[in-house]
Formats: sequence, C-alpha cells, structure tokens
Amino acid sequence: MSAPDVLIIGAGITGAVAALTLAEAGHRVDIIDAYAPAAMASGWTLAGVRQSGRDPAELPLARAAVAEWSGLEARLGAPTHYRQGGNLRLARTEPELATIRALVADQRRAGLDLWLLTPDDLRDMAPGLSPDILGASFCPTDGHADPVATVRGFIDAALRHGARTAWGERAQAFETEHGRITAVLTDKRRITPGAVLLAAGIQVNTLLAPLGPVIPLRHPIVTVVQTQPVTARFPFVIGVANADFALRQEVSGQLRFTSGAEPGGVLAEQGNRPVVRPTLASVTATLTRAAKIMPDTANATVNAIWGGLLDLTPDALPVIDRHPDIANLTIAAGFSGHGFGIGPVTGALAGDLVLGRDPAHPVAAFRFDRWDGTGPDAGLSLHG
Amino acid sequence: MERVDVAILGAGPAGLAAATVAAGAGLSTIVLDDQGAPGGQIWRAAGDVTRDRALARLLGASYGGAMEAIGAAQAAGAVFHPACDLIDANGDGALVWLDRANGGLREGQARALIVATGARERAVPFPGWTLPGVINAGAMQIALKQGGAVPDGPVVLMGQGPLLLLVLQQLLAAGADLRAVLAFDGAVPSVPFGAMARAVFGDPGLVAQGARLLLGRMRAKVPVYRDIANLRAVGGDRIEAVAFDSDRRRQQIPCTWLGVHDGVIPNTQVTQLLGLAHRWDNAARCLVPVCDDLGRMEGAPVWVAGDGAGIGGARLAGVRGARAAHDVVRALAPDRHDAPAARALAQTAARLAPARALVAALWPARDPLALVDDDTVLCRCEGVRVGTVRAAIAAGASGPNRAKVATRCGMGPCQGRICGPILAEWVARDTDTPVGALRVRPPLKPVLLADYLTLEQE
Repeated sequence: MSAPDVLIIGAGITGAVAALTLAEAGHRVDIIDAYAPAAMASGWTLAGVRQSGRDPAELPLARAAVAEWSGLEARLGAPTHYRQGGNLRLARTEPELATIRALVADQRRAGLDLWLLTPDDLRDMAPGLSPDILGASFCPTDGHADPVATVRGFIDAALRHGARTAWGERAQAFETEHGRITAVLTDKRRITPGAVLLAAGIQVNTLLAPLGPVIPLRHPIVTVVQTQPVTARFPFVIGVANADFALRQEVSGQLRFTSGAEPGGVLAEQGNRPVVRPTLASVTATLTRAAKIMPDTANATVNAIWGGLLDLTPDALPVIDRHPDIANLTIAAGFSGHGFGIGPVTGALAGDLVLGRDPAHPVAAFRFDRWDGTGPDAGLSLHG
Repeated sequence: MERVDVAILGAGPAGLAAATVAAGAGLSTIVLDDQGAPGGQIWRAAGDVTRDRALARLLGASYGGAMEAIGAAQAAGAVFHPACDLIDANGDGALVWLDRANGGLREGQARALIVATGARERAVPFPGWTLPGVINAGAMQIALKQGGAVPDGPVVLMGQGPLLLLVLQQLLAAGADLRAVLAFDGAVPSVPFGAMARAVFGDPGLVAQGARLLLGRMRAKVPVYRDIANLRAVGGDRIEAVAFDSDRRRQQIPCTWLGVHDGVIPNTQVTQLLGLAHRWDNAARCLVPVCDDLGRMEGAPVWVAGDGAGIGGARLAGVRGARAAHDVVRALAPDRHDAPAARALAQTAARLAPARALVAALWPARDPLALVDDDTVLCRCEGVRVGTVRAAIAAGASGPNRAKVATRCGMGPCQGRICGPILAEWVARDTDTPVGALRVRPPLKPVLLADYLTLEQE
C-alpha cells in the first residue's frame, strides 16, 4: 500500500472527523484502530451534545459544534440520530442547588441560553422526575446523538473521499529522525506517512512515552447501563450537579444511564475486543440514583451493562496540539469523558493543526505541555 | 452475600455429580439452577415424572439414575437454589443471581466455580421458522415432561439427531398426530469397524439405545422424507403447513406444530461472560470452552463440566462433573482429595468417549445457512434478515461484533444465543478469518432495574 499523507491513529469521533476533514481537503488519509471504529470512549459514551456545564475554554467549541450537529446528517448522508432535546442538570440537595444557581449565572454571562427551573417547572416539563428534585438548569439547545452511528457516518464519508481504513491494527512505535516521524510501526506493517494524528484516547501515552513527555492521564471507569425500550418518551439528557449520574433515551426507546468517574477501571481484551467490567457496587449505585431521580425507571428491564475508561487530564480539558519536539505529530486526546459532542469541531481543529493551518478556534487552553508539574489529581467536576 | 467454597451452575447430571463429590468432601457447596427442581434438561421435573405412572412409562427410560443422582447430591449436603437465573459472574467467583421464587437479586462469593450449564439446541434457520407453531423438538419434550402436554393437531418433525428420534418415539407413544418426518440425516456413513467396536464395547447401553431409536423410526407408520430442498413453513398468524421439495417433487403437509431439531451445542454464555478462552470446533460448528481434561479453565478458579464443556451426552456429563469436582477438592482441600476415585473416573470417561464420537459421526452438524433466503429472519429478537447481514458482511464487517453493530443482529435480549454462532461462522467464512464470538454482557437474563435495588444495602 502506498504511503499516506496523513496517518490517523484511533477511529473514535476525533479521528473519524479529522479523517473526513483531511480527505475532503484532498489529502491521502489512512486511519487505523487497534479495535474498530468507536470501540472505546466514542462507543460507550452517553453521547450528550452539550454546551451547558462546559469549561469556558470549551464553550466556544461546544457552541460551534451544536451549530454543526443539525446539518451533520445531510453532510454525511447517514443517520446520527441527533436530537436537540435539551439538557437538564438536576439539583438533589441544597448544596447542589447552589452549584446549579452559580452555573446558570456564570454561563448566562458567557452568553449561553441557560434557564433555572423550579420544581414546578420540572413537573410540567418532565412529569417522570421525582418531586424531591429541588431545581435544575435547562439548556434547550443541548441534545444527544447515537455515537456509533455518528462515527460510522464520518468514516464512511471519509472512505467516499478516498480515505483508507484498517481495523484490528495496533500502532506500536514511531521511528523518528531529525525531529520528524519517518515511520509508524504497527503489529502488521511499517507505514511511512507524511504526518501523524494521534487520537488514540487512553492509549496515547504508550506511543508518546518514547518521544519524551506524556499527558498526565488517569483512567477512571464509568459504568453504563442500558435498558430495554420503555414507553415513556423524553427528549432531554438528564445530568446532576455533581456529575455522578446521567441519563438519556436512545431513539429505540432504550434508556442509557452512566455513573460518574470512579477509580479502578481495568481494560481487558477478549478475542481482540476491549472489555471493561464495572463493579456490581457501581451498577447498583447508578441504578439507585436512577430510581431516585426518575422513580418509574425501576420498572424498566436492564438489557446490558458495560464499562468505559476515561482519558482524564488534570484539568479535564483535552490536548489538541502539535507535539513540541516532533514536527509532523499532532495530538488530540485527553477528552476526559466529554469529547463526543464537540468531536465535529475538535476533529476539524486537529485536521487544521496537521496541515499547519490556523485553527478555526483558539486552542491555547489545550496545549500539550500546559502541566506545571502538578500531578493528575483534578476531579471530574461540574462539567463532566 | 452467601460465601461458599464451591458454586455449581446447573443441576443436570454434571452439576449433581459435581455437587455430590464437592459436598461429600466437606466443601460448602451451592447449586444454582433456573428450573424449579433439580435434574437439568434430561431429567427435567424428575420427581414429578417418576411419581406419575403414565409419564414414567412414557419417559421413564431416559430418567434412569435421576432420583439416585439427586438424592446423592442432597445427602452429601449440597444446598440447592432452585428457580435462580444467573445474572452476572466474574472470574473471582463473585456471582449475582435472580431468585425468582423469593424475588430480588442475591450475591454469592465462591472459591471455585463449576459451570455445568449443559447444552442448547442448535438453531438452523429456514423461511418461516419464526412463525408461531414452529418450535424446537426439545421444547415439545419439555411440554411432555412438565405435565404430559401432547401437541394438539397434526405434527411434523424435521431435522436430525438422536433427540429428534427420541421425541418421535415419545410423541407417538403419547398419542400425538404425527404426519411426517423431514429427515436431514444423510445415509448412514461408513464407520470404521474398530471405531464401532470401541463404541459398542465402551458404552453398549448408548449404542443399543441409538439402534432402538433408528429402528423405531423405520417401524413407525410415519412417512419419512429425505433430500429436502426449498423448505418453507407456511402460514399467517401461525404455521399452517410445511412445504418442501423431496425427490424433486413439491410437497405441502398441513400441520399445526413443526418440531425442529438439529443437535445440540454447548451453552457457553457463562464461560464467555467470565471472559475465559474459547475455541471454535469446526466439526461440531460451535464454540467450546478451552479447558483441560478435568474441565479446569485457564486464568480463573473455574471448571466446566458436562455438555457445556463440549457435547458428550448425559452419561459422560455425570462423569465429567465428578472429575471436575475431584479436581476442585484437590485444589481447595488437598488432604481430602480421593485420588483413586478420580483415577477410576478417568478410565470411565475414556471408555464412554468412543460411543459419543460415533454419535457425532452419525449426525454431523449441518451448514446453518443451507436453507435460508435473503428474506429469512436470522435474529429473532431484532427481526434482522439474512439479506441485511449479507450486505453488512459485503460492506466490510470483519467480525461478528462489527456485523452486530451494523445490523443489530444479536443485539436483543437473548444476546445472540440463537443467531450468534451462525453469524460468527458466516462472517469468518466470508472474510477468511478465525471464527469469533458475540460479546456477552451482564445481565445474562433481562432483569428488572428494581431487582438491582435489592442489593443496595451492601
């Protein structure tokens, strides 16, 4: 196979979007993944498309992404099941209510259309919610989508623009010379791309470490529970003020719950597929929160339980930057569990950086070497 | 939380024999089973069947040894948990099950796990196979075993294998209106004399039973059709007839029940859930757990015994269950290991094996896609058709899980128990890759969210 202009390592949302961006611009793109498209975070995610609760550095990206999401199906010629049903963030306690009030004030100042809802408002809007909820923020322009379908849509569109794919192929090392990558060694072959985009989620440091500094990542686990379809329908994503629970309804009518980030996740492999098993305690805690927030969910039937690992940085913001020492290496990783919704923008930003173009949005907050020696200890706070 | 030395999943011949050995050696032992009474599939409702004279006459032959095996396990002190569905398990011996009798989920922790979950009937789809009235022959037998229910109206049986022959005899004896048998077993293959002799010598009972069943089909006054092609179950709300070509002539036989059977395959849901190694058996066309002679799997204190470790039949299942349990005793309480008994069981297993090999040679697994057209439903849960899956494979789905994501085939509540092996074999054949397996996730059975809340107070 001839050498590509750009090799993208990782077929999650970021790599898939970058592949289409670069292929549309006329470049020869190869995209490889150790497993398959959306096999890791872009597959297990709750898949919210959200501006509310974002860090100020991410908010412009999130707003630009929301502007793009409604046109994605037309652009890709494929379903994303995007639904702009809004995002509710609930306060279950007085301290949580204070957090929500502060969030609404902050983000309204930043220009986001975010409302503060009272229990009465909630009763009208979401009659299935527990009457014990003290209030909520509501962002009507937030929404959610089908992550696997979306990633597939981007990959298929990139294929139509001449990109090439290889699944089940793991990048293992870089060969460098004079501050450039000259070859990428995989478990199958040696590729000699013009440039490399590293978008491999939790796997990035394996490839970065031999080159020098790495991203200080932790890999906490998130528990995901999916039910069989339920009859009650609601369009919004539901989160909570301390980010230890979220819920949405898929187009099929199935509910999808996620826990907060918890320590102790382990990535295992079964027949070349990644498997992350959550603990029973976490499953039970997640479902207990579900039943407290929306009592009727207790009658739902649990269909599947799985876990996912986060690539959590100390400030829970991603790295979108060129490598400081390797001229033709761009990194887009560390999305910390909320990279899916902004993927259509961050993937394109990564493409800009690969090509040496001015990025369409400021990326200073996402520098590769912004860590000042502090350890990876920031928790996943409100904007999870 | 119930803490025990040994948890045994399945109370069929393998599980009961394992329980007898493990509990007999003084290990605290529980046996979980989804049925309300011990016995497994072959000895289903053993207590009721043996007490009911008419049923005992009808089914009695296959229940030989049932009450003894159940009694031995109980006498040894094994604790039986009936009506329990395994929901989740991990390689460290942690278990979660749904207690249907008492309600709610229960947690257990075992030092060793013996998986004796037996076999399930192989699915071979054909046009119309999802019509109500088309059922597994095994399910017909279950109805007989649980209260002697005989199918009403005309019945046709189709497929191959010893169970089909047995069900034929049992249905006839029970007075069912059998209209035809569509036999998919070919002409009897020439089995080398040596292999036949070893089988007869090793397990004369099984060989004699097989011969009786084959003879029984010849003697039964039921038309037997062969060389079946273009088969279709016909009907609106339920099956009304089965149509097919035989000897190049179109046949249409009215029926209200079509009993289908194509042999059995190991039930590997639990060992797959545990994330342990499996291999694809090309001849038997099924996934088999990778284990040693004693059933020990690698990487976890897990043993697999009986048909779940590879089809061996009920007699061998009991022997394998006992052997696995002896090995568990050796691992957990070496001073109580009964080495002579274990050695004797090894000899018995070796003696029984050739007869089983003969059965496998007589009824080789069929191509599961030989009868389908593009319109045939492959995944019953999600209603995914063969043509949809064909298109996904052609579009590059390079493994069963990718085909599943692309088509929803295997995504329903049964987690691909039925369509998964077919999908896996098909993808592998068309992409020239090793046969994979659909991922198995908890819960193994759909369970109410509210049931999880019963675990809250840990």
